[in-house]
Amino acid sequence: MVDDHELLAAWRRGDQAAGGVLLQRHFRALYRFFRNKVGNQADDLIQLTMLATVKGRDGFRGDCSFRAYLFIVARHELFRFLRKRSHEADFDPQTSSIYDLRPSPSAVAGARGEQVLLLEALRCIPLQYQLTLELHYWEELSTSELAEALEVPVGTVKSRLRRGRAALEAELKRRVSRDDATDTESVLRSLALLRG
Amino acid sequence: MLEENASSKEPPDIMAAAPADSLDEARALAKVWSGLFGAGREAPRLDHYYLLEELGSGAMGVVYSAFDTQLQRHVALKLLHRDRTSSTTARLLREARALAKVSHPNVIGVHAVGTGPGADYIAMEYVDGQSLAQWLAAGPHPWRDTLRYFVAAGRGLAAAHEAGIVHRDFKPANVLLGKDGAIRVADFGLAWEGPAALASTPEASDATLKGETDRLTATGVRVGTPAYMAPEQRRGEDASALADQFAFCVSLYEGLWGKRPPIDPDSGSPVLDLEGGPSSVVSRPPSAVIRTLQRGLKTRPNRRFASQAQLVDELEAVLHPRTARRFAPWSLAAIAVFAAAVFAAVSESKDDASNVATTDPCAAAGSEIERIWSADRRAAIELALNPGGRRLDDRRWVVDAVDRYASVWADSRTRACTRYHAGAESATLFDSRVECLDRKAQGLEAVTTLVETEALSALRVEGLLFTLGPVSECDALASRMHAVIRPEDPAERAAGQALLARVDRQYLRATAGLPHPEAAVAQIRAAAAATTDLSARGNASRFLARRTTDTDERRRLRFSVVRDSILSHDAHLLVLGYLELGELHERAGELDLSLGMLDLALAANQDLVALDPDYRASAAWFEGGIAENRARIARLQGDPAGALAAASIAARSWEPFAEDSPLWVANALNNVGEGLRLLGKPRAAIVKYDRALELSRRRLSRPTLELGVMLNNRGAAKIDAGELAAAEQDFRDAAPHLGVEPERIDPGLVEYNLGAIAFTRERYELARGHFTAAVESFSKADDIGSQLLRQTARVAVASVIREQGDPLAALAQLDAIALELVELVGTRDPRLAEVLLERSLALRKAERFEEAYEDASTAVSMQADSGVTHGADRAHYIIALAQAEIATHRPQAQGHLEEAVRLVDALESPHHPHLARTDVLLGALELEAGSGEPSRRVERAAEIVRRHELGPSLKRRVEALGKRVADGG
Repeated sequence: MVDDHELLAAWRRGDQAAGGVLLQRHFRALYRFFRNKVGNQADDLIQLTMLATVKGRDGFRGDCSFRAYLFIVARHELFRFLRKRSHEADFDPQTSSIYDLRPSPSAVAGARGEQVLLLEALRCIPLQYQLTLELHYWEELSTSELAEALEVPVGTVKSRLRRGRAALEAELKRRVSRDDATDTESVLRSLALLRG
Repeated sequence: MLEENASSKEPPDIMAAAPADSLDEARALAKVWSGLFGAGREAPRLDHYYLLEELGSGAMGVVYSAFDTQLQRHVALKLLHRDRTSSTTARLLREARALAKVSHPNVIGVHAVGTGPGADYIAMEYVDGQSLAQWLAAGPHPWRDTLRYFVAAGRGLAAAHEAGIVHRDFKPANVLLGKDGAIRVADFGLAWEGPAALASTPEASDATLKGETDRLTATGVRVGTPAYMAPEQRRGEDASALADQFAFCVSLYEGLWGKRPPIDPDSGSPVLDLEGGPSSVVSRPPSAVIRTLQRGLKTRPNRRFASQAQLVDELEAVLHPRTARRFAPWSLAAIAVFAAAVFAAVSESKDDASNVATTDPCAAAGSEIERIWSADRRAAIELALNPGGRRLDDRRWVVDAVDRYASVWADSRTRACTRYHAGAESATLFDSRVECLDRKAQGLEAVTTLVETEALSALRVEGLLFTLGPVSECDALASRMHAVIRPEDPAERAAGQALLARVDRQYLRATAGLPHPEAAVAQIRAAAAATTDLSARGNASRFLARRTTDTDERRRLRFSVVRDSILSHDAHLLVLGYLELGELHERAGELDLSLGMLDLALAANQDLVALDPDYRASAAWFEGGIAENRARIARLQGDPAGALAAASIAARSWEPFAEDSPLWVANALNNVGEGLRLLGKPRAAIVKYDRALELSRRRLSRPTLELGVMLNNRGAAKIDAGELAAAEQDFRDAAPHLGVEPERIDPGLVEYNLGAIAFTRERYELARGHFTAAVESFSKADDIGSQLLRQTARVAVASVIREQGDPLAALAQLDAIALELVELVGTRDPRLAEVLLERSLALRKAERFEEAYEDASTAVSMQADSGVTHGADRAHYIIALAQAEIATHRPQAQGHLEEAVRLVDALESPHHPHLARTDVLLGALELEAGSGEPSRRVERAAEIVRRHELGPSLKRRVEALGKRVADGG
């Protein structure tokens, strides 16, 4: 198994096959990342992200995991895209949620009811939290990897996780019927199965 | 991920790749791949299909246009989401396969179904064009064009129903309009468990609020589009073909009026604003279309068209008035198949809930009665019946009776529904039946309300239910109700029904013995004047006639009943109309006219039977009623034979109703008994009375008028049969019953009868007291019946006066009575015979023997003329004649006495009081002639005197004779 860094290096040198392997490896993660935020435009953004990595625009130094690096790039592309779509002044990932930014609708690759709930809820909390939670639970980035990917200190990561969970729980409670006692944590954990 | 393929430029084969969450992902990958690495934009593959572009997505999955490499044609490929339960997959595929069997130009064709680990798909006909929703939005269009498209869509829907498929989500967006003008209904019945984040996006949320997209419950079960949903679907019940009909009609309305009908928040049903709408832009469709919509949008599913095919037939008739076929062969087949589906309905478990039309539209039909009679109502009624020391039997009977009625109603309602939906009956007949049943239901409601508020007895409730009429009247409607001319306009027709319901309620009140509120009567009068529904007006006039005291108005109203029933072809009302005109004449003493009316009523009744054979049971009822009236008139005319014949007919006609209405049969039997008694057959009469009393006692447990009358009559029969003690017992038993409602039956009858017993026992003061009381009692009423009874009682008083030793005073009285009687009934009435006979007795006492003989002889022949040739009365007359003959030394006396003996023997009562008298007379004759067995006669006479405690003078005569016999040897 070739290392991601090596593949990237090879790709940057012009080896398209290496790029193909990288794409295949990380496509799903990117797809998931973008899909529930920008819907049909996901493929465009994935492409932009990949192009940005190969062109080395962000000066990847190789001192964090490729995954984390990839998500940094992805995040930048996402914000760029969202800024273009909404008015600059409105866009603030601290407070704006995808819901507010109204990207085009998409059919999400979730299957079960709870997943729908969760996805809906995620879209309604501030974007920063959404990213943090998703990357942590779905991409299973550790807190230090998250700190790299989000370009913030570890402490901030932890507090975002905490606040993000709280916000998500509140959103879920609004949606969920009185019968279901929703344990946010378990829902998030169970969603790890999504990846499977 | 296939690292091995990294160098290949081929797009990954979806099926072979590791399971993708969706085809989208694979497509996206392919796109990104080609964007990054410049490979040809080759479409992802699925089996032998190349996916081209996404056409749209919905709850069940995504639809792509695709190219079928095998058949080299364009298809629409619907990819079903991978993540769903296996049962939904199975169901989906089953439906798709079923849909594939529907080969109809208006139903989207299904080419193939594929399953696999990666995705399940349905390959369908590709329609190059737009949805009907888009076409409508580009409107407005002339109504004919819109209707044409909808008719085509409707045909497609009907074809699917025929194959057992319910769409469940019919709406213009699901109807495809090809560039070639072809209409195809698509997106069939694919309701299944699956999420649609479509509903979770902001746009989708808006759309959800407007009800324009499929609605998701919190757990992701798709249930159709609320804006088009039928009320029963909205409530969560399984959608049936009838719900499709509803959605179709909402869609059509939207197509024609530019917007969906507004929903009434209370009922959840659409409020058809057919007048409004953008009529300046969209030309208004004809009223036939409106009527069709009204029917298809009925809240209750079983009131809609029996099938989608029928609905489309109606619409097509608007487009092609000449060529539309009402019962095209294939649509008949549609009905038959649907019927099979209905009758073979098998309820499937919830998990496996199939789309096939197994919902029985008539399942809930019968339970409509629960709005009126439910467990709560029953409890309330039981509570209301509690106080007043009411017997438990009564209470239970009332509740049971209403239960029975409600249960029969429910059966009948269900039957009407299934007959209609099986295509066995037309829509108009179904409507008539439902109207009839609704009227019965309203009546039942009125009955239960009366029971609750007035705490009625079981007897009264029986009368109420009888007045209401059996539910079977609505079953037997085929030709009869159909023939009645009702207003065309539905509003007028409904108003007519409302008037009928009002009248029904008043009749029930009358049966319950309650007064009519002035306001209610005034309402009926006003509504009757205003209505165009002649049948309803006739019914109202009937009621108003009963109500009014003005005889002229009553006559006018009763004639108008007959007129209105003839004009509206209401044969049933005509029978009633004639009957009541008959009663009118009877009261006025116009007995022949009355009989004429009864003949007309009978003829009308028989016409009804010819028109509607199902009516036979009800016809029997009316035959009984007509016969009853005839009997009464015959009695008034002094025609006991005629009265008996008619009374027997009545009893026979009513016998089948003994179970439900024992009192009515008992009444009839009572009349038969009377007839028999008057004709001198007291024993037969007693048998009838016994049965009458037995039937009555099933229902009556406390002092009741009816029981009193029957006991009294039986007592009278027992007198005739010579059982004085038993008769006296019956009279004494009758007294408390008759005292209950003195205004309805004259207690004078009891007085008279007790007087008769006292008279036989020669207790003349006592007898006089009774007879005088009887006279007073009969004087209170002035109808002809009471007047005649009064004269009879006066005659009895005269008899007493005679026996008490003043024959001349008696004669004077009798002459006065005779004059009055002639005024009442004319000179040929047999009642005059009675007066003559009494005169004969008085004259004999006054020793004017020739005159006595004259009168006795006339009396005897008058009695014979009236048909009385047997019985105690006859024997009485013959004895009197014989006595007169003895007094005038006529030889016929012996013959007449023997005849008297035969008559008394025929009474089958060996100890009849009359026998004592005849024995004494005959004994004396035999003694003189030296023949016969005078001693035996004396013995028997003595026995009779002893047994019946007969009077002193008879006793003396017997003893005297006994002595003479003993002496004479």
